[in-house]
Amino acid sequence: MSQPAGQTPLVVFTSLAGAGAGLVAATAMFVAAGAPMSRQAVVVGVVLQAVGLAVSLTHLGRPLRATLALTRVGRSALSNEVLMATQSLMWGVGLVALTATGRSVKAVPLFAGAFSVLFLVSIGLVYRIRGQASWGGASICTPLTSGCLFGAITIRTLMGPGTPVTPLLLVLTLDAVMFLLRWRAIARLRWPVEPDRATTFLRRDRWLSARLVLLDAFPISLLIVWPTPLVIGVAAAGLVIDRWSFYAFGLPHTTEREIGRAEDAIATASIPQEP
Amino acid sequence: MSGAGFVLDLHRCVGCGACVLACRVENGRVESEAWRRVLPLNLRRQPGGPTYFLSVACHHCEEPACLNGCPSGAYEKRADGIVVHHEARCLGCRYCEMTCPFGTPRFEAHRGVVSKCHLCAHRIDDGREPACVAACPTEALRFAPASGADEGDARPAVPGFVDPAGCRPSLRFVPPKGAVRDGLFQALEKRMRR
Repeated sequence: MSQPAGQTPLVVFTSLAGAGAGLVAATAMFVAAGAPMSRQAVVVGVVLQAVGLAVSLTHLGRPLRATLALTRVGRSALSNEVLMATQSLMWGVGLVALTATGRSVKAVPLFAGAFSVLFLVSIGLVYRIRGQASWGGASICTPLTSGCLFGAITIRTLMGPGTPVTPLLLVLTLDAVMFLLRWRAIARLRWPVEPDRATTFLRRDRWLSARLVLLDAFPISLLIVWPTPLVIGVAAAGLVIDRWSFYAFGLPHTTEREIGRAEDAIATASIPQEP
Repeated sequence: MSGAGFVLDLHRCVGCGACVLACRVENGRVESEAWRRVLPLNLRRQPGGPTYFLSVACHHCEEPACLNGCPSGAYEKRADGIVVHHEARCLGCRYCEMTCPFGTPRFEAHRGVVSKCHLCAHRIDDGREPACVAACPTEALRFAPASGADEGDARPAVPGFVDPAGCRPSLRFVPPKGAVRDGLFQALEKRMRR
């Protein structure tokens, strides 16, 4: 599996923090649908977010300057993501602390869930970059839908068949639609690929099929026929492949790629030869 | 072109790489971290066919994507249009590598920060030309100070170089001359527009 250098921490960060925020967001959805709150899911969600954020520091060349990332909130999508990540984590920690005291305030899970959704949306918006076709469109939504789907599958597995099914079906439908749109956009990319990434691109449909089966189709089928904790592991594998494929199949526009495109045009054009 | 930038004459550029070397010497860059690069077009795909060279570094865009995306304010656009990068504020997050549609900022792992061409701002402040321009033996690469006027028939896009993100780079190209090179150029332009 090859991908552009330096992006492994981003795959780990968006997988862990995405799963964690998805768990808190899905908890809020189930609470809104009338189910009791799963404290276990919120605790795991908060821990995953905290670990994910810690891993994201390893991506930085100068991690000690990380707080500078908050200096351009409102102007830089990355600053907004950092702000939302900290807000989401703080609300999650607050929710865990509140449940530890034995008190129950229904609005707190909803607020925590709302901030988790904003965090997941902000992850997608970081990659809404003008001129970078490979990361536009539906791929902006997949951190949100895949995280929430993982959360919904986990909560449904933990709480058993008695829990409402509406949140799960809602995020499953959204995720499947957004992912298929993203797949179509990736398949339409016509940019030259570096030789060390060519094999990965040749197996593109295999990886994207695996993601669809592991995160969408297989867990839902298992939940219906055999709801074991294995379902969570399968969905987690699907989520990791989702995040990995996002970076692995990204082909940002560069002058080198534009020249490759022009050379492709030369190869097929009827152009006069020098004597 | 309103800000300072470069003009590259594709007819004059022979791809000698003197600009790359001069930049490296002036700014103390090792080969793998060079800010300027010379990219040949049509060497591999049609051997023996006409070739031209794109000598590119930072384009000091009017709407710089690197500056707009940077979370820590490490980039600054000077009054004369030069986009400078302040390493002391750089997190090394590499977001500018993603947002720049020209692949200009480069991450230096051993220093943990990104770096890029600053158009030899120190030389310009001293009234001199950038090192790459001063070293060009054919005068293919020229410095265009902030003036607000375009230079002759120079154009902002050629096959192999387009602005897909509305960054409005300050680099301008003088197209190649001669029947065969014109033929290549026009055929390519027509094909790339499809």
